[in-house]
Amino acid sequence: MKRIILLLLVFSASYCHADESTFQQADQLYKSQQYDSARVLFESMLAEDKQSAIVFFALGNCYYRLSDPVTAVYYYEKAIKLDPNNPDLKANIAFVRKQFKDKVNTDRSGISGWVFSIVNDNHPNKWSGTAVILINFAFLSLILSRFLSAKKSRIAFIAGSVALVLGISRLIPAWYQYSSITNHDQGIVKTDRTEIKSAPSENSSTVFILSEGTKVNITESNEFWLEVNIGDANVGWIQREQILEI
Amino acid sequence: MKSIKYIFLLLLLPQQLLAQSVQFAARVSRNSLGVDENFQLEIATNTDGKVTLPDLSSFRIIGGPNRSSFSSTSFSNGQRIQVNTYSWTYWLMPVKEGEFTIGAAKLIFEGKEYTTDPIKIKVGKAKDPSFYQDNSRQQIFISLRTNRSKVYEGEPVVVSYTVNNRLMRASIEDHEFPNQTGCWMQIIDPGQKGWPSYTEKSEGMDYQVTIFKKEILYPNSFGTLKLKPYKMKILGQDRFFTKQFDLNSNSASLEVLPLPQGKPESFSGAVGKFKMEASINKTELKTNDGIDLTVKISGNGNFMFIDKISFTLPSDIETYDPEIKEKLSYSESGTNGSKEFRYLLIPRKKGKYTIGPIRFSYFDPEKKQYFTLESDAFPITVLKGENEDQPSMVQSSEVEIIDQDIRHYPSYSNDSFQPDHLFFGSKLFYFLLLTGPMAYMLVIFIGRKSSLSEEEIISNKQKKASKFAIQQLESARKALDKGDNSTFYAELWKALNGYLSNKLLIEISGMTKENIRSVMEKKGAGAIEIEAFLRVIELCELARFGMAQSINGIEIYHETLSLIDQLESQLK
Repeated sequence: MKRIILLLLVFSASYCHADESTFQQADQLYKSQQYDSARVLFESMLAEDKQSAIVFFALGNCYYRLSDPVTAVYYYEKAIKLDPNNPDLKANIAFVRKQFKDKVNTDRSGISGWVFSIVNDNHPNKWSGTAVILINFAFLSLILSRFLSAKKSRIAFIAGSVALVLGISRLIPAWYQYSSITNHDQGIVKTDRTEIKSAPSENSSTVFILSEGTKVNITESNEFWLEVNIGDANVGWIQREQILEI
Repeated sequence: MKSIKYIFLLLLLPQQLLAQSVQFAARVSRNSLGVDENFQLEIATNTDGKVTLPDLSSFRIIGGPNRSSFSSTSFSNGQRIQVNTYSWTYWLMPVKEGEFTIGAAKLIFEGKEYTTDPIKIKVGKAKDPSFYQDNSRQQIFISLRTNRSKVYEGEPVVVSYTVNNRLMRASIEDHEFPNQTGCWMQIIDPGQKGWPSYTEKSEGMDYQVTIFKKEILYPNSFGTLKLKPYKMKILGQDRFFTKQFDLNSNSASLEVLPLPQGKPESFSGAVGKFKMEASINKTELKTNDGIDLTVKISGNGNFMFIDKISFTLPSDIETYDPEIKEKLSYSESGTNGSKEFRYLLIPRKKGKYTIGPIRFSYFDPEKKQYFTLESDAFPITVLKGENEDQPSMVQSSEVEIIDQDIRHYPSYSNDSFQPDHLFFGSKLFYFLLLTGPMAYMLVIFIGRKSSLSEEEIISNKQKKASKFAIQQLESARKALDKGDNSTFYAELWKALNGYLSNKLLIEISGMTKENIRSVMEKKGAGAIEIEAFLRVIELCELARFGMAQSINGIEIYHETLSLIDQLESQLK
């Protein structure tokens, strides 16, 4: 068991170790204000569908410097999904968002907002990491309870059961965050004065109009269309190409 | 004037007295005069007839006609004579040089018509040369003047308010200056002597120009700047009369050019020529102590638009609005002097900081380009003060938050922000998640397996019971061969005892014969074998106590061997 915990630590430390030298190189370019070259290099680090909060953050800054606030916010939003409590990211999103016309609040509110904030209070890897540790601890205790004397065995059994419940309960937020990261359940409107349609077809009527940079929740999708809402009752369909899916 | 009139009238008197006839005459105070002079025309009669005054169109009437009557009573030869004299007086001025005739005046009295003689007036050159100019022009006007008509935003313009007159005397009774908008204005102090007055030709005429005041003006936005006219009430006196003039000045407009493109970052509207000095009063201090940063801007320019010096400070150093000292003088060349900004900086945490360099940019309208002045950077050392751990005196709401740019992404080595995969959903995650349950299941499986082999061990023990017993008997036989009887019986006892213990999984030492018998019966041993077994055990026990020497050892050995063989087949 000790070996497993050690293994876990070693793995998480060296986990997805993005090429550090590439990052430093891109960072140098960024600092010498060659934002476009820095952007290309940072983007190369994301090949193979890698997720990295720090690279997303850096890309957001690159796009902001390249006067593309929409893509900048898109990357910030991607980064904040991985690192929900980063104050710098929050500040940058708020700062860049000031440039956008629409002031809709897509963030969840009420009880779901509260749950969401608890879920997002921790890094996704923290939820899944603690879940794994707790579950392993639980089974270790259950194994031990078989070999110990009656009194100690009972203590180990209770401890193991509690740890098992806690561990499994941690899998729920971990899964929730994982699905929100992988499922592209939000998006940033790419183009200004984008018409949101009542149905997924060009000919349907326009329900409302969004300007660039607006964050929307994606509720349904097909090949070309996405059903979106902006946090309230306003629901409509938008063409997939008009949105950057976070 | 009056005295002249009386003399004139007195001169008429004798004739009246003599003739008692109608008197009607016109006379002038002078026949020959300069064009700039005036004269008096008086028409007098001793009748009260109807007088038609002469045509005076070739002169300018500057006064009159003043009608007056004069009555005198005299006694002559006891007769009372009353003489009434009526007169009309004009003050006239020639219009131009030459010879003019004042036409006859007519008097109709008692049906008869009387006329005066025409009077010739010779108008010569003016005594005062300025009189040649057109008299009809305005005698006084006020004007608003600027020294230039096209300036850059923030460039100074001198505005003069002048009174231009050719009156003999003029005094300002009242004035009204409008509030000019779109600019900043400051009166220029003319000094003790005041502004000198001078003569200026305007449309061919000389005017005395008095500067009422001068102001320096700085337009504060580009476009066309309209200067509104001002008003004055002037009491003026020309050659003869005092008159009040209500005057309005002209308005003026200025073309204000916007500052060119390419403003430096530290530019905040300063236009002119400047120098900058920056200094700090100490380089080492404790936290929460103050340090003065003094920035002095001197030169010529629109100081009034420089209200702060912007610079960035490390976040742990707080600052407040600066204390500003101005030493400015306003002249026609603009605003000269200096403006000093003293900023109080308070470091809140210990450490080494660098303040500045402080940059100040201005636009030089002569060279038409921007210049940036840069000070040295000031390194300071902040030592830990006594009160460092106390909360900052400044409430966070008072701190000006300048949210001008995005925040920089953290460095790669920042631990909390390592680039990462999602752990959840990865192979490692599933592996580790399943490790616990798998290990648990493994333990249960192995546990079950090991409890099975115990039974095997037991059955093995039973199987090997006779083998062990025979081995034991072998060592007993060796002892017998050596003639060691006591060891022989001990080994024999062990062989039987061990056999039964292993075979029946019970410990029989210490058991009574009856117990052994019943156990063996249960396991299916025959009665003869049981008796034989018990007999050998008894024999061994007796022999151990030295009471069975006579017994043949070798016989007992063989008997035991066959007994174990038989029990092996009987016991289950």
